[in-house]
Amino acid sequence: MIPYLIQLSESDKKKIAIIAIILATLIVLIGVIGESLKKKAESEGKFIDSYMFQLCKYGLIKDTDQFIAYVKNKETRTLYFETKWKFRLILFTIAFFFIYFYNFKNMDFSVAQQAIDGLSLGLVWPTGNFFGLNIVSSWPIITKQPSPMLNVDGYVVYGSLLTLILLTIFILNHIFIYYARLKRAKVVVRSVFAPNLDNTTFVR
Amino acid sequence: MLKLLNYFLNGLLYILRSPYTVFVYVLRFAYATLIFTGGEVISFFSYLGGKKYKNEDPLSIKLQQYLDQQTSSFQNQPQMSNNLGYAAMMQQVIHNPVQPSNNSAVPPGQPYPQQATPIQQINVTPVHLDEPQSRGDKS
Repeated sequence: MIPYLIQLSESDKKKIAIIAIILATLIVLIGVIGESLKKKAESEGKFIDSYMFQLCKYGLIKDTDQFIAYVKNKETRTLYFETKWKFRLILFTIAFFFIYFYNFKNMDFSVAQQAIDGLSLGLVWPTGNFFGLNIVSSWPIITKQPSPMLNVDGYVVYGSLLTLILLTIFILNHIFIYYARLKRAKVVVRSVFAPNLDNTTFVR
Repeated sequence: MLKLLNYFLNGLLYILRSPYTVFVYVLRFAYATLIFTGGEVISFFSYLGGKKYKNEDPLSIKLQQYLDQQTSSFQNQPQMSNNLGYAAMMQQVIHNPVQPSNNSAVPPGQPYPQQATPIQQINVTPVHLDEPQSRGDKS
């Protein structure tokens, strides 16, 4: 490995350093995004305190099982009400897509495939033999530039695809919030109904 | 620098765990789809029953009723309780000031009648300070 690195030219070494820096930055970015998602989960989970506090205070919820069951029930209902229009829009979009292709294309989906292929970039990665392994040895060669289909068919395909992706992201956000609240309920229930001996004395 | 290293290591962990996370979220999405289907079925039957399916639960309604009841009973309490604190007692006085009774024998618009028994005149004998007072002297 080391003799091979010594054999590398100065420009190759620079390229490797740049790639390493870009990779490290990407990994750090993923770490930052993950940590911010963790913080978001914590803040979203605290929402259950707003409605569980009074229920526990007035003795309407008396034990841990009841606590978790109530939070799950309420959050499931909230998840349905928050996502119902998003799911309905997904169904409408899929129905619109199929109705369009049924009416105008006689259920021939090759146009949709062409439209999606039009967005892709054609790359060929040159490979070289390295210690018996066939690995990437240089920058890729671009064989095809993206050429989106700019007609009605293309707009229908891209519009449907974009709508589906956006709606899925919104639904995933609600699912994330739902599980964050359930997790908070499971964590907090241990201390809510546990007898606490802090600042308590039984000495007479 | 330490924080950056922490982010780097966390990022590596997230990348390694990403297939598992994707799999879990696919399952969760499927579960959300089931919830949506169930909710739509309940909504449909509620609609057939002439009701609208709302995001409310019996326990929070019960709590709200209990709190309303507490407030109304507190406001309509006729007598003051000695067990209440001074602030609560004053609040009672403010919310329930002493009202004239509607069960009066006098019809509205009529003059209030004279009192049946006149006030007795109390005859007070003046005390003469000049005269010597004899206390306990029975002679």
